[in-house]
Amino acid sequence: MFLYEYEGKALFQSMGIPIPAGKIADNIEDALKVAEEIGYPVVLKPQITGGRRGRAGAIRFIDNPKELEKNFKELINLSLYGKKVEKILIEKKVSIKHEYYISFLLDFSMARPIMIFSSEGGIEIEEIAAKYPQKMVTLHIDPEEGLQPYMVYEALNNVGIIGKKATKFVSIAMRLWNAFSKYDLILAEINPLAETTDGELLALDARVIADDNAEFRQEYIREFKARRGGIESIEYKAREKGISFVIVDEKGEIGVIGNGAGLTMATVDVLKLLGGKPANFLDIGGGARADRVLAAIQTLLTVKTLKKIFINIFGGITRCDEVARGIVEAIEKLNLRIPLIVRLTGTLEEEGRKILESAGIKAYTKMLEGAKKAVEG
Amino acid sequence: MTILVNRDTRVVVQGITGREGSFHTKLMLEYGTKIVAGVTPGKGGIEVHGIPVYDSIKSAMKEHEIDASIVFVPAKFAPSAVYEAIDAGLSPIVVITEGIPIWETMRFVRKARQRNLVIIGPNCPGIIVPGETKIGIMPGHIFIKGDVAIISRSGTLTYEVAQLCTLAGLGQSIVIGLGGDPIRGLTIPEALRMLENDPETKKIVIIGEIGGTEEEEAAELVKKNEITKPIVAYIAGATIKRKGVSFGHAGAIILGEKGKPESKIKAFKEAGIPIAKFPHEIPEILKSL
Repeated sequence: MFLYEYEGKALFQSMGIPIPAGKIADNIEDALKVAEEIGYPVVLKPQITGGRRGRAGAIRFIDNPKELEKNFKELINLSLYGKKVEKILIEKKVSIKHEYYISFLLDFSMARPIMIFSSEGGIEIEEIAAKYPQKMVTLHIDPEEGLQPYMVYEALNNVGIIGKKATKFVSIAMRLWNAFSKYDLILAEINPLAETTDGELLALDARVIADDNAEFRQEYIREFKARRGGIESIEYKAREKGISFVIVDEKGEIGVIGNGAGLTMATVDVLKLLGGKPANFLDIGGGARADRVLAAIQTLLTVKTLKKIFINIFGGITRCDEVARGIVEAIEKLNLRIPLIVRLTGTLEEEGRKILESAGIKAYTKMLEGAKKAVEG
Repeated sequence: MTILVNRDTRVVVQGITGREGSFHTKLMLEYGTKIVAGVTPGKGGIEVHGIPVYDSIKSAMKEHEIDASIVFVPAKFAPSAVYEAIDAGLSPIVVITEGIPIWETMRFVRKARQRNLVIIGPNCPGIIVPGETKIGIMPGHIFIKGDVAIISRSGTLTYEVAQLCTLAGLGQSIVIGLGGDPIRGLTIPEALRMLENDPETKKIVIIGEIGGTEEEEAAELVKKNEITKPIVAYIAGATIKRKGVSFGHAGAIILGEKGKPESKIKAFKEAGIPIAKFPHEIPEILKSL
């Protein structure tokens, strides 16, 4: 799960990493109050996950309440990189002497954490790597040993940061590592890590990805998810029922239900390649029973642009009879008005087919046939 | 001779008394898999489908010779089960369990690699050598013996492709579901190296997904001529543009440029590997190679 900047900063702060004074607001009254509290000048930072806000002109520096009102109204509800801005972070503007970069991430293929530090920051890491390769260092970490201060000193010395100054950075690195390892993170990035004109180090941004699988042992993941609004809260409710649900096209017309992430992604692809407009990715997971299938269809009905639903099931650990029962139940209980196209094959296929036939639904055997029907009608 | 497993591989089922563990023990036995023991801590002394259950692998090994393990233990307790299998020196260790925190997987995958043991998964459908053994949860009847190897990061999509191949008369030498998590034991490049040396395998299908960099690394091996057998590739999620969301598999998180479908497709093209746009094109392309 990608965290919002303000969520990531909360995790950083809990580990003692300094961040600028600030708070989030979703309405102008609160925004004015926050700015009053922390004092002008302030920075307005729309909260979206991913995307380059600076490049889109969406980060605004504000000197007085009048400017704040004008800019806040421009930014709130704005669509940035396909995402609606629902909250804005209002932060104290700091005077920056220099911008650095630091991150921890998991190197998937080598199965180990790495630290990346650069004495030039404030731009995307790919750009740093291209423009200033000699100012960037990468540190490979053994997860059993953990990050040790000497490793960070070595790395910093390699990019010309020495002595007292290095100690300041080591302290930030150790705290960021603590956040990274304690909170089950996949990425913890501070960019820019700013050195202020007073010589203080501050995390001006936070890009954090948390491991959804760690939800059972990380209370903050549950809290953050519960607090979020909009599309993501539908996605969250679906997940509570064991369903992964993601909108891929907000104007999509075909609702997609599949079992298994790969097959469901392939289903979205095939519909699109055939000229259809799939709206979503919905994976009922492995071993879904009838109630989860019903919940999946119920979840799709929250998408108002749908004209039909394509259900593509290849039974393995999932049993076709359970899926069929869920579909029939959905038709009876949900007063379904849009057509359902079903492809059903695999474990207990015959039983499933019979259940569907008794409800007047013909199930296709081949994915391509079902997909064609869903696109062409 | 086949790689990794064959009809003689002796298997322990960890988590044999659970719903999935017990159900699939029955199906694996029906397929002909040599399951010799089951392990569920605290359930030692009972039997499941005629298979004796022990509290630990070491206790089971006093009575039986065991080569490999399949793990059905729930995510919270799965790391302990995997370490136990590593301690016992079993290989491969097939981890079916879904939802293991990535930091746990990272640790046990490293330990297994240090000891030269193969972990398949986690979050995977397992491995099948058609007609010989099935150490996994895939429906056995859709596979037939042949010379096409399928390696895949997906579960049900593997079934889809295997069935399309079978219907087209293309049997399989081995099918390995590598799993959907971002950190996994056996990777696509490692599996390719094994298949290159497998006399039973003539052609290879790679089913990749968006996210990660293994497809790019695999393409690199082909470019360097380390892999010479003909390959067909398919990438699931190629039309999906929404950045930074996880499609069930955390492995499908797109990080940076590598991992995007365009990057994978470009890498395969540069290596001269044909890419199927639709799953149903895979058998046709295989026949043309």
